[in-house]
Amino acid sequence: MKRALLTLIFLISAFSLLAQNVHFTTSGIIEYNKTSNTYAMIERQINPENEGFYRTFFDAYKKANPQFRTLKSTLTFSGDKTLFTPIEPDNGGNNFITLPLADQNNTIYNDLGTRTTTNQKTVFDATFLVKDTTRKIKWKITGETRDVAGYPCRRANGIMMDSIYVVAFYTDKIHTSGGPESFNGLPGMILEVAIPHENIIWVATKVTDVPVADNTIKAPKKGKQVTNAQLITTLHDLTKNWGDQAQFFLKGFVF
Amino acid sequence: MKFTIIAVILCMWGLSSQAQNSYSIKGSVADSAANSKLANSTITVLNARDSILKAFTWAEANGNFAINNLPKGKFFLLITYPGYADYVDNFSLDSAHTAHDFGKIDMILRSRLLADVIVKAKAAAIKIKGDTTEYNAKSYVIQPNDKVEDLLKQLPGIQVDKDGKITAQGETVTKVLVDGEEFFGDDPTLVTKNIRADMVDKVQLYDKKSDQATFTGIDDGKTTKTINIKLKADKKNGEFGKVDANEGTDGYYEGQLQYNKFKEKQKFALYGTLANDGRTGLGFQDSNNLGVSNNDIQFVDGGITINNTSNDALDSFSGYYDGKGIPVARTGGVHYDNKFDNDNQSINTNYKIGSIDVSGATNTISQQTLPTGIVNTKSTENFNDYAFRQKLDATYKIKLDTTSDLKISVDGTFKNFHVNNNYFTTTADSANNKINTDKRDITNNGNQQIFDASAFYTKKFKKPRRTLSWSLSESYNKSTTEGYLNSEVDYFNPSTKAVDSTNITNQYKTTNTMSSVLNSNITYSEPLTTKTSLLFNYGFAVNNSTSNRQSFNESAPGKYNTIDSANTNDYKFNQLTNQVGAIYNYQFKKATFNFGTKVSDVAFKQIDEFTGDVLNRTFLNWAPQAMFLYKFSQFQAFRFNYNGNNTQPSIDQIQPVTINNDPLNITIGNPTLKPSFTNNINMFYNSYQVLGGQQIYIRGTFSNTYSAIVNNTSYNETTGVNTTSYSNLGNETPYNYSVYASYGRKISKTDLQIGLNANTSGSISYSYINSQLDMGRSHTYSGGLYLYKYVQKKYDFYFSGGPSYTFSTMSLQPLTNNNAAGFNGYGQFNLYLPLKFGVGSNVDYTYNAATQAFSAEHLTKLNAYIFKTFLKEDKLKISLSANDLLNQNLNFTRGISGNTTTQTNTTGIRRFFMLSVTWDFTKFGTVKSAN
Repeated sequence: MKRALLTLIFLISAFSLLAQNVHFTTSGIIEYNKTSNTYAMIERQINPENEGFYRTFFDAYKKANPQFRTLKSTLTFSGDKTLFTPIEPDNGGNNFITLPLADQNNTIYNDLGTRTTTNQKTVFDATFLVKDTTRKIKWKITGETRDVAGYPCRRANGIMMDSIYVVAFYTDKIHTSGGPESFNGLPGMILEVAIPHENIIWVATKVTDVPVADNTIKAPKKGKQVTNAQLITTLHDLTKNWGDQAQFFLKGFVF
Repeated sequence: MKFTIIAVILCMWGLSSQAQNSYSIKGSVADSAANSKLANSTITVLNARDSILKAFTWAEANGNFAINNLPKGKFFLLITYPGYADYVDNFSLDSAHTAHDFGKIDMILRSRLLADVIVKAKAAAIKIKGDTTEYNAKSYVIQPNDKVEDLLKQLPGIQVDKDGKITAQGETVTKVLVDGEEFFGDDPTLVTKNIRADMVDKVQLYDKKSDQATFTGIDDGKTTKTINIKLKADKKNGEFGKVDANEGTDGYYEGQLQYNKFKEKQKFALYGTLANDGRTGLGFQDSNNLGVSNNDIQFVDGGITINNTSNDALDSFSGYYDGKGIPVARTGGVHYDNKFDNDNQSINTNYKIGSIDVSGATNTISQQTLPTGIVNTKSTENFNDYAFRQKLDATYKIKLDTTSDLKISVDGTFKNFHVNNNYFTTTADSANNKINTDKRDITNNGNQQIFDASAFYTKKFKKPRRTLSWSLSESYNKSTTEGYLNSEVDYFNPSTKAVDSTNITNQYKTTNTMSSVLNSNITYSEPLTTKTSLLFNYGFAVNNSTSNRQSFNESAPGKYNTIDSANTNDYKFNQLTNQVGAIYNYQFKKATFNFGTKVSDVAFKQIDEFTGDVLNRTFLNWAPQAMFLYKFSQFQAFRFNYNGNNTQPSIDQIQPVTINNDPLNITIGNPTLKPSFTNNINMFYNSYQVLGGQQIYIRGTFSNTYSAIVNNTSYNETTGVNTTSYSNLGNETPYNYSVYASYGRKISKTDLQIGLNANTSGSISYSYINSQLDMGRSHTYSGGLYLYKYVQKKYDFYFSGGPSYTFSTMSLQPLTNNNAAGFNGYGQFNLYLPLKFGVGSNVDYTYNAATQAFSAEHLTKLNAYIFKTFLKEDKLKISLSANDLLNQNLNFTRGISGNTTTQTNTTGIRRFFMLSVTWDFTKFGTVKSAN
């Protein structure tokens, strides 16, 4: 009996000693893959009115392009500052159909301490520098967990811009409340996030835990300076005569 | 007392200045069993009711934490640390309890917690919360032999509350894929019905499938099970269509019906047109909506090409005839298409029937340049043409497997036609002395049969960009016509100005032609590196054509059986071509580049059936090509294209028979003609700024021909008769070019688009006249301005216009020219008025100055309309329109052919008013897929 108790105590101590060596990441570089289901995006644009013509277009598009488009990006972070940079792909692909939600139009610098953001955003041929507060997302924490890139993550569901539903997995082992693109506000780094109703998902493929020099995380500078509200007005003006396609482009560039 | 008052004042002050968020919590986190502080634990505050995140922080080095500026309400605290069981505790903050101190929170290692449970052998001690969308509380029963490691894997999330109650957070969730994409259930507390209408469907679907998706037993933890669900497409069915009825003044009418019914993947359409106002069939949009047009759409080189494969008058792109004459059209068709075998096979078939009856008059003025002077001809033609046609076509496509496709198409056409033309022509010299007059009647009946069949096979190999394709096609065309030529030519004596002699032609003519073209081409592309690839092709073609033309004179009135041998000939022209080619391709990021050539060995066999003469010749034809494309961005590109190819002479140019349908302009074929070779260069640059609305477009083309086949005419000075044959040009190369540039931009804050353009084009052409070489020069310079604005559902307008100047000279008579200025203007507007009314109008103005040979022409075509719509979505529309209000319509062209400059005017539809009623009907329904 005494022996059993002793063994148990040893076991317990062993376990607790192991647990004390948890390493928390405070700076590093994360590589993300953004995957978009382009077929589902185009399918949603087809309605009974335009079916006759669009269906043939869609079939030809499917022949020349794969269903899932994957784009890469990196997130460099240190403390409460993050810099999200997209990586340009080698081949433009067959881009006759513009799918702004399937592209990467933003280079984003977030200061999560002061809650400010600087977003260098490409809209068609123009570049805007959006300076505003960080994206406000209403998060709900759940009990579901999964591993992403070797880090244990917890699921949070959120609502962004009042109507966009997002699902994110964040890890409490990285103490920066940031994530890819403009996602932020969770008690840890977001390593996986999806916008299910727009068929897009970002997944971290590699997390490199290294110290990062302060001057590598800097806000981008190119573009016409605007606030989020001014950007939305400009986009509304541009697309107001585009009929039912307007919503599609507006959504893609406002994001 | 003092204390209390101060406290109260302070409290109230606190309340008023920071009314909402002056609540706070604090505490510290440790692992008492290990006697250590848990620095860096994650402290989260969530709404008790819906788990919405309110605030969070990370514990400091000493394990302490504090969160201020919280609102009041009921919350729970969640503390996590890797490896430890999650700690949860409920609390509330209100005016009575503004700060909550959790004190020292003890965290327990998960392994220790589970070991504890096993040792204590507490059955049913763990409550399990379901997945995120549904909260099913279940109980997990711990068996005596359960091991800690197994439990850790099975219950990855464990939480314990301050009373020591343990709850396992969620089952191990299986990754569910729907059509290849991970499916995340919607969260009902966040995603309400107001936000997304289709959300409810997805959730129900997930629930239904989850019966198959849930799993039992212990997951070994190595791989998460993934289930891929293929959503059954909702079954759509419905019908839509349009009825258009129009009645006008002067007997004009138009009626059109379109009906389309679709059920899941099957589509059936029916349509018909009865009109004499210029409409002959379905317009482009309607044609596409009904699935009738056989568009072949391909994504190529970063762009899109749309090939419309049907090209005859009764099936025209815009549904309108060419504007010459007054037409009466009766056309209709039936269409059916279906996809089956999981969309791997599809069939598309059409039957079209129609007739078109066009009558009108054409006035032609031409000026012919001779070495000795010029000759002017005026001609009036009255025509009445009728064609009746039936066509049946079918296309079958099949995906043989994931890497290969096959497409088979067949079609057959039967056509009957009658033609009745009367001409009256006068030719005079430059002093206006008559040389000849001709009064001529031609009637012709005929029928034509066309059959086409083609197969196209493509295969993609495992190595990317390695592909093979094979196309095979046969096209058979047979035509039989018979008719009568009656002409009376009077030859005048220029000095006496009286009729010198008369030549009467009264003949019965038959023409039987047949052509059969068999074409086969295999293409193979092989990737060399990630940026380059090679394309090879081998093809052969067998092209056989026969042309049997016979002319008979009268032996006795009404009996045409005396052969006119000069105008009779039976000829066969067979060509056998073998072709090989290779093209090198390079593509990386923004640049695409390719060059290569095809070379063909062409064997001609020409047989004159009457004389038995056979002529065999062989030629080597080259078809080099090069292309360079640079895409600066999606909206800015530069492209350069070069290609060269040979053009074979046609059987009409080769057949050694005299054609005297116009006794004043006789043509004879030349059997020794060789193919010509043409170089084509074109380049363009375009840039479009979506935001600023600025657009720039520049395009240039150039093309020249070696050994061009040109007219070789002999003009008889006395009779004024032209006899034309064909020859290959020796040392000269005719060429043509064009340069077009346009610039436009949006005027900000007004949405008005303005722009200007400039254009120059021209050509140098050659012909032989009485053995002398004549060079024709034509250059046109023009420019214009445009402006337009479009406000959806309110109004839109478009105006454009500009001047032009054309130089037109012939080298043999340098003092004569047909230079002329011109002006074009176009304007239109549409205005939507309240009460669902609308008005609009368009005007087209053309002016061509007079030249030495031609009079000035100007025409203003003005149309206007007013309409009112009814019913939901404007489905019923009644409109009143006026066509050609100023009654000036005239089809007018000027051009050069050989050594002749011509101007023609053809009658068209003039002023009439029309009342139209259009009803768009639609009925859609969806049947949800039943599982």
